[in-house]
Amino acid sequence: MQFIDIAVASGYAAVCLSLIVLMNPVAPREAAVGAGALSALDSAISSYIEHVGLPFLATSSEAAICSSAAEASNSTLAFDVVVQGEGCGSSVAPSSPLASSSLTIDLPSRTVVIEAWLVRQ
Amino acid sequence: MSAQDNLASTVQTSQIESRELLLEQSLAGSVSLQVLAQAQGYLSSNPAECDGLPQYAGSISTSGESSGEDSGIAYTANATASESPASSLESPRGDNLTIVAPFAGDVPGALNLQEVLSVKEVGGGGSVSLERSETHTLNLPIKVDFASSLCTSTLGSLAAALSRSPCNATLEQDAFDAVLPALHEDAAALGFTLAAGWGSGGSSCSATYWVTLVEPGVAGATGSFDWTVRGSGTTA
Repeated sequence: MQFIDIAVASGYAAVCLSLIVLMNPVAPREAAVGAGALSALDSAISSYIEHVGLPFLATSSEAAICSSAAEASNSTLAFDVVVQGEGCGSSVAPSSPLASSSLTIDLPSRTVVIEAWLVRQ
Repeated sequence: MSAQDNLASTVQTSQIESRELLLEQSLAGSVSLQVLAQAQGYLSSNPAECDGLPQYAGSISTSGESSGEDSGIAYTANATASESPASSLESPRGDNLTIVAPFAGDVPGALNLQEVLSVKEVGGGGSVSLERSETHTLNLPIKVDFASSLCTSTLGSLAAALSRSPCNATLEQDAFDAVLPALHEDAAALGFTLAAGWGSGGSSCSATYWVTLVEPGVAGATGSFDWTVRGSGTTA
């Protein structure tokens, strides 16, 4: 549950930062808010991999991994995990996200890419 | 520089730092997993000898490394591991490398490795660097202690059974057949399968005997594997 809390909080923080952009679009602030959104997404990715663990990502089936990504996603934050080039499906990725981040992890048996998006409400 | 510029700079530095922390976490985990995968490969392809279990564990030496660039951050990570110094643990001892749980920390009776881990990262054009050098303990859940005790008891039982009727192959076979079911049960109770055999030792009525213990389906860090321990002996 702590993982979910962190993910929700990260998503909420990123949404708030994005709203600041919309309300006062001054260039330096845009950059700052963009960086803040990326930090929030990176924090969410960190929480996800800490929660599931690398052995899980190294050994589990795509179905199990996709299920964990779906479980970690919520209304403001979407996850996808690409295992050896195969993602969980195009329906996972939002059409026009506010921000996105990804992390590539080279594991002994496979390469995994974790993608996270800040979802537009 | 305006206050807004300062804000932007500070937040961007903070973003680089948070990315470096994420990279550090994943790199520490991935090179540790490489270390565990190498150790697992060694265990699955090199059977241990009953009388050499301590040396066997001590001969394991593994390493892992990763380097590259991510989001403008250059990184290198490496790890080396060997058998953890002998300890008299009676309960598991944790380790904060939880990203590779349950293979982080010491587990009594298992193969425990001490890992020296180093991660270096430089981002923001050299302005934001991170360096981490730590020692961790990792484990692979093979049952070293159980294998050792099974070796002792199984070889002892076979020696005793085959020594009762020297020079009489029929009685020796009967004795071997009589003791074998209990040996299978003892091994199974500790999670091993057992195969054993015997034969004439050649001269002076001695008999040779052997045992192979297999711990099947050990849940390793990169999948399950079988671990094999072999032993043999000769009656006087």
